[in-house]
Amino acid sequence: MNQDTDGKDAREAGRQGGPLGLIDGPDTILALVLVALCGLLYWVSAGFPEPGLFLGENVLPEHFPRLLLIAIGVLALLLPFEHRLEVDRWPLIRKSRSAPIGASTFVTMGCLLILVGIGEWIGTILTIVVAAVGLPLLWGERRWLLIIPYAAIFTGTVTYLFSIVLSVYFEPGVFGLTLR
Amino acid sequence: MDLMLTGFAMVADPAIIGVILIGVIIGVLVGALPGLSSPMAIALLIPFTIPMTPIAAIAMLAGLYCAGTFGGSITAILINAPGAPPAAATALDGYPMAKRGEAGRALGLATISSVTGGILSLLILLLAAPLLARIAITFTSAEYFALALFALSMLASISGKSSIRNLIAGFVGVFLSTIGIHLTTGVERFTFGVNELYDGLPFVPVLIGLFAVAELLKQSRVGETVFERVRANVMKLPSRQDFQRIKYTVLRSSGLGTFIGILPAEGATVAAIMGYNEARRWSDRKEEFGTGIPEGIAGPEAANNAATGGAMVPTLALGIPGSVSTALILGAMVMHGLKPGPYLLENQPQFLYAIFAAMLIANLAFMAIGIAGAKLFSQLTLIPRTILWPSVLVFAIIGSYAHSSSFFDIWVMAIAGIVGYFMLRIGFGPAPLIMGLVLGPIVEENFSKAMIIHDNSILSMMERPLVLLFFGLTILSLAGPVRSAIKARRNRNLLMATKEGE
Repeated sequence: MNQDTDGKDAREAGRQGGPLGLIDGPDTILALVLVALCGLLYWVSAGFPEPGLFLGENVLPEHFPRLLLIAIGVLALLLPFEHRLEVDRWPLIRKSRSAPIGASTFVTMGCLLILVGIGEWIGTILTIVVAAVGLPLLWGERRWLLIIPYAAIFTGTVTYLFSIVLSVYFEPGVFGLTLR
Repeated sequence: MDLMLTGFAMVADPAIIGVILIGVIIGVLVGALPGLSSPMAIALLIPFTIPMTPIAAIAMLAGLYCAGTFGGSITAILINAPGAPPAAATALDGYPMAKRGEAGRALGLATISSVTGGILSLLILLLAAPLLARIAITFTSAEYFALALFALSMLASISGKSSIRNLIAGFVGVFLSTIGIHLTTGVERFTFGVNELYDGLPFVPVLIGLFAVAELLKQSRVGETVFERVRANVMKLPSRQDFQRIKYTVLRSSGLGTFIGILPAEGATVAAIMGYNEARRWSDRKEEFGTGIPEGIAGPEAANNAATGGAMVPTLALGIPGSVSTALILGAMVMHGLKPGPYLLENQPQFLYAIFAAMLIANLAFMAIGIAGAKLFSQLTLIPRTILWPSVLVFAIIGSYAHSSSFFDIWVMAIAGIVGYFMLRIGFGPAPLIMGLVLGPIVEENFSKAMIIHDNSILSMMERPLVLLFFGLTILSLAGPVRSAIKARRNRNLLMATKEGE
């Protein structure tokens, strides 16, 4: 039996709830990332300015966050061994994290970030119109007779409600789009 | 009595009744739609309440909270797809009954049990909240700190994939609440030079990101689901025979649900599962459960709706949320300038009666709406996901933006959503993080005060009996999941040994 087959068998055993190692690889990485982040934030807290003389008698501003970072760090160190403790619920975590992330999820994330990035430039109204038209298209909707009335009526109503009824200021953007 | 009348009068305004009804309709809609949840709807609705009076805003959110829990039962019964997690147990008997051609009867049983559970828990809210507030008003900061710590420790046992992950998420939530200017010393903490963070991480965009955007990203790879529909006749109110059969189940589940709701962090889902299990345990027809019997619907439905009233008890009396939805309502109360806790009930006791009246109206309204519109609400699942989720995104964008008309808040929403999506994948739920974010300021404020009073000594704090009690409860609460894990492991080993033996 070669090494690849061994690895495959071990993965299969893990999937079927067979014997597991002492520590779980992905959770060890997660724990290390969390501990490193806690360490970094602890270090950042060391750079907080000193409070004034009278205020210094209070609990120092870094005191409470540091306690939390220590608690998170200690709990994170338990993560690599969690699969041996949570035998019933552990398969759910494994199933959830091993499910592939679809390309559509990454594309949706990317488009969301781009939309937020250009939002201030194109203005609030156009941002929500792009969201209402873009997401259906992104997710494979091609029935224009559905998309256009939906986008027009829905975004129109929401814009009217927030801009006119609730008096929320809408950034007009470079196109100067505003209801007021 | 005068206070009660004043409280009722605060809600008797047609505009407030109108917003409660809107909250109820949105709640039933959201509850009925698989994927959308009450916390998500509350998060998306909070920005709409900005121009409202505090009482109208909280009444609307409370109406949505009650109705959202009930709404899930409609799709659980008619299409075997619980619209909300608390309705999952209802599907076990509701759907088989509907398949037998008794969909109207199943819906009627669910509605009456929900309303009864909801109203009984409201009566307990009315009695328990002032009593609890009277006790809590004597608490010093040390007791409050210990109580908030106990509430945080309860995160270990709330439903989720892992106790350790729930606790980590809860502590991360508390940590995020420390971002911004430290109120006692005026020192900037973890702002990294971003001016918008001086006042702290914006609460509403974080909520919307974690609940709405993370779920939207999760849905991006789910295909269109086609549900097998059961033909729904007009909803039938339970017959006298059915009433006789379920009355003790409803009473028992209402008590159980209210108690579970009162416990910090435990919510309607846990109540519903326990309500179903208890209904089965007490029944002399145990073997019929799962085949569509009335007790199997009444048990979880009475319990999950009773949990809503129960969860409002610690929220209003202590300022400690009883569930994730009440954590959001608590956040909305703070946003509207209210400080939930014993002093609110001491100084404005009419507020409790107003909330009671609003939730009572919501319960009666969803009964009427449920009876009239169950068939219509079950059709909501026909809305294509390519229209439903873009609508959620539009509300998420506008809802995040509306609070301070700032695109920075939309950035926070988007980042919280992406982080929330990856958190979900690796077993961290948004609920503990939000509970931590809400509890954070209470924990820190009382921790700081208690440390000053007790000369920075935790041991000195523990000389107070209530502090000792809450610390003891915290240890018990943390030990609970460890004990269950050891038990589960022992059972698994036993099972494997038996298999090997065979």
